[in-house]
Amino acid sequence: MRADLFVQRGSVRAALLAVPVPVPVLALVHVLVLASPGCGGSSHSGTGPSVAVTPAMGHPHVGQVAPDLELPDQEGQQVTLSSFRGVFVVLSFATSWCPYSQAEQPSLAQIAREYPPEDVRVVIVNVDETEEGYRRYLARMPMSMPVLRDARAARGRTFIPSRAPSRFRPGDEWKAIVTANLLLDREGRIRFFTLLDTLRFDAELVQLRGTLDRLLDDRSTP
Amino acid sequence: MSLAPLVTLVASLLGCGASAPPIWTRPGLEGHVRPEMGPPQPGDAAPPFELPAADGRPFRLASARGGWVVLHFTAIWCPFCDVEIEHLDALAGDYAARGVRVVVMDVLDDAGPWQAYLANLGVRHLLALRDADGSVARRYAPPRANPSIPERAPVVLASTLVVDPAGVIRLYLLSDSAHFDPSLAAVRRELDRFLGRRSPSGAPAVPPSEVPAAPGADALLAPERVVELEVAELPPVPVGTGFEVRLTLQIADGYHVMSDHPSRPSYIATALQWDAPSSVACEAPRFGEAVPFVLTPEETLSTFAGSTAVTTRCRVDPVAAPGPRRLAGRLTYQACTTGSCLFPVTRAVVVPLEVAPPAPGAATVVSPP
Repeated sequence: MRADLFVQRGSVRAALLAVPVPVPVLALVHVLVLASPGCGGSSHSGTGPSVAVTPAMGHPHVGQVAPDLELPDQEGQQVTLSSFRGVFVVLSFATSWCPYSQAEQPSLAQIAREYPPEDVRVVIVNVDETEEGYRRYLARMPMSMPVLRDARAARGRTFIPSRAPSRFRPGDEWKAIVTANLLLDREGRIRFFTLLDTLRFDAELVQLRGTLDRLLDDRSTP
Repeated sequence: MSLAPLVTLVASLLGCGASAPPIWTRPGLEGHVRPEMGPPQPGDAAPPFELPAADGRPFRLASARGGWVVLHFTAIWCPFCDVEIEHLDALAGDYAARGVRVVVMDVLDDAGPWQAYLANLGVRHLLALRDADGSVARRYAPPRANPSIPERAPVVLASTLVVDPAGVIRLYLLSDSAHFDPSLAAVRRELDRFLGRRSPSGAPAVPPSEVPAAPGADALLAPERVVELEVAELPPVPVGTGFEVRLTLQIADGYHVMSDHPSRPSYIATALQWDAPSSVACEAPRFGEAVPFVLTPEETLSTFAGSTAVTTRCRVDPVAAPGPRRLAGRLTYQACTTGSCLFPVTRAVVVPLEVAPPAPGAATVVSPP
């Protein structure tokens, strides 16, 4: 058979486009189209819009006071979310098995290092099904911030927007909160809230940090 | 050369008014790969791979050439994948008769849990493979899709590709949680377009060809039934003389097969290979005239349609012993309709041959003057 007679990439592309021009010309056209604004060649470098939780998705949403949580941290101490009133809280829901969670983990550790604790605290809620998963998440890198244990988001599922479409298998609805990132202000009000966006994934939490920096600036320059 | 492509080029250079909107602006296709993400892209050859199927037998992507392939990446812990896999199995069942295979590739799970997962789901139609070390998944991950994820294999999870019968990627939907649809309705819609069924808007999805009556997509013939083979009976052939084998291909209405010189090297050519007995030598077969088949306004295929004949000149060795012989051959072809192609087939051709004693006066004929 002719399975071995496989055409090379460039010629296939040229053939499919059915444009009898050399491939380098096509490549140039691509670049030009992408560089000109308004042509749909949007960038996906990870800083585009994420799935922002809007009021249309129900409660909780940006502007509302976040539900409270009381969960054990890695030392076994009960930690209450509302006890962080007075500082900004970066709240992130994570699992050991989700590659997007894994990609965010260093960024969360970095935020905890970079911002003064009297202004900003990072709180991670690990929603792994198993204790083993929780341990694996903790073992990946030094985590100085509280990493709360909340198996299958038994408590944290109150953060799933009430009208967000349920897309997973029955019993797996809680997974909608995995990699959700929130910013709570000093009064515990939600100022930023995104769910996972696999296509425009923002591993560096650029958008959340942008909101945080703006809010911190607002205070320092009255 | 037509001016139309140049006009399109100029239009895309000037602005974008005249060019077609990008595929990802269509509903359900928001997650389509973008050119700036890097390869592989639609139009590229699907990266080849060979992996063991659930039954242990190896599956090569190249072996599926000639039919459409839906390729999907999955993992047992991935909640998006988990709700898609049953829909993929249903898609595999619904499209099998139209020459579509659905290949679901597990990325980086261990064999035991993956087998247990499949058994628990009870999948029946899809072909399940396991990319144990993630190397296939990495080859499929466009380098600038989610570049902040260092381990590249999971980037393709819950992604779906459509690969055409020539092995070329036609659609590549990355996982897009913002527009997630586990039923894969958009993939079915695009498949219908590729396979030639009319789109819901009523417009023919694939540009119409010159052939009037393509059979309905649901009523495709088995590839062996598309071409009827007839061999002209041979009179007894005296030793030391030449003869001609004439094989007629009667191609069913609405179908065509690629000619012996297809318009693209990746298309499967009609070929006839003789395994002649030692006392018979045959020249290369000669094919009839190819028929142009207008697939799209830009692409015309070189095909055979209707009735066409393949002739082969052979000669019986002068020292052959008289008696019965069998001239065996293998005919390979790929049959297509306007909208879809069937799996290529190789069929046996057997020509009974009676080698006769030398004709009286034959020595006079072959001797030099």
